[in-house]
Amino acid sequence: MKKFWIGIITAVIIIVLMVFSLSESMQNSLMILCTLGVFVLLFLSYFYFEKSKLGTKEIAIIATLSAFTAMSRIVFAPIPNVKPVTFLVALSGFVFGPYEGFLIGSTSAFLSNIFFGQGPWTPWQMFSWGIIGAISGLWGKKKEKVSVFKFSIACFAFGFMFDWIMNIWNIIGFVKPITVESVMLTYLASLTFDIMHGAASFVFSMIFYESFLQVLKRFKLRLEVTYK
Amino acid sequence: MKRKLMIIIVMLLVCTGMFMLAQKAQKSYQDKNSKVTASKDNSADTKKAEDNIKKTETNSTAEPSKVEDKNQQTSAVNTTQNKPANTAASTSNNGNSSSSPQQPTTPQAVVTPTPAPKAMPVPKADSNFVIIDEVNKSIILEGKFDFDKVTIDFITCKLLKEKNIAYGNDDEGTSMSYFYSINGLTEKKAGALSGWCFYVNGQRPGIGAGSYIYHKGDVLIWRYKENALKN
Repeated sequence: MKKFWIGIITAVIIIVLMVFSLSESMQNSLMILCTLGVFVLLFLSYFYFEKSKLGTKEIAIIATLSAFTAMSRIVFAPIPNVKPVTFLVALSGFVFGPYEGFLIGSTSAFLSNIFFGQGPWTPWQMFSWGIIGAISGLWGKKKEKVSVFKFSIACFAFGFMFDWIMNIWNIIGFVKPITVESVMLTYLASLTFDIMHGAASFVFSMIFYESFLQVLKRFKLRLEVTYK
Repeated sequence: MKRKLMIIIVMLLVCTGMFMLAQKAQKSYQDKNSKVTASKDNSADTKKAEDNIKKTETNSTAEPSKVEDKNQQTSAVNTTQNKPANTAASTSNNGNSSSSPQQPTTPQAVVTPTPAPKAMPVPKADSNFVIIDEVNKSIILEGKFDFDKVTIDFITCKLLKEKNIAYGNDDEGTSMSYFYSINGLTEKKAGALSGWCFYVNGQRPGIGAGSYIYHKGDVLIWRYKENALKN
């Protein structure tokens, strides 16, 4: 029950930040609020892991994986919208669970934006990648292992999902007036980039899924070993 | 392993196909749209020309536009209606009244040399390149120039160099061009959200100065705004 409430609070923090990013008067203080929000998020996760059997070890994994994911985004920065972040977040969510997936997604968005530049898009990217991690975490709870092809198709869809959530921010923030036509045109304009993102995630997942899954699974197993 | 490679290649092919299709759709829409705007521009041009003729007929002596005149008249009427109490308020609201010729020269009007908010300067009707400082309410540069099918960035840099006005732009000549300072007015100087924006025909295009192509007949206005997020 406690875990459920922590999940709800996490979602509320991100959504409040998203709303703030849209209001004009908040633009000056948005960055400090974002940073504060992330700190609160991570602080909440300590309460969450207090009850779980992994405890601090899991926090260490989340920190490592988010740093790795953020770095992987920076490496592929020269190619527009080609980033393995979507695949890595989905995979780590798949192995470790929905809440962990959400944390890895949102913190890696925040971390990589330290390099790319923080802005009103930060909370939205945190939300989008967090949701990807959470969804694949729920999927991973039901199934222990899926085939490469299935997971790659899912990553392709996740790439589109991320871009389409970000399009909503673009429409609310910049498109005036908001009509059916202008919304359709925004989605049309983003389509080439969506395809780049989806295809890149697909290829990354195709190449790395099996080896990465083994590594992460083994890590999780080793963490759970206890001596009596 | 072979199967994987096959799937990757097939997927990449499918994606390139989708990419091409998406680009085609975008281009076809752009072509359609540019035709529409071109026809709109033509009609706007003829309208503007007519307006200009009218203005040269009527506004040979007084320069400010008609709308401004009307505003001044209404403010004058207001001040005459409720004389003593509201004059100060109306002058501060509508700074025009101190300079308006229609207003009866009441003593109150004379006793306002206090730095009352200046009126927003109105550029000449026939100038197609204007730089306005909205914070200090002054016009830095205005005039009529002939350009066609060049970027806003090119025009602005050329004119500012010609007039010896200092400016700051680190990506001049590229599509990333951004003017952070003109005539010593730097961004974020008059508040965290202040900066330079450009308007073409009264509207703010959603793209940068290095990408927007200027066409003949467009009116280009640069404004230094206290809150550049507001239109």
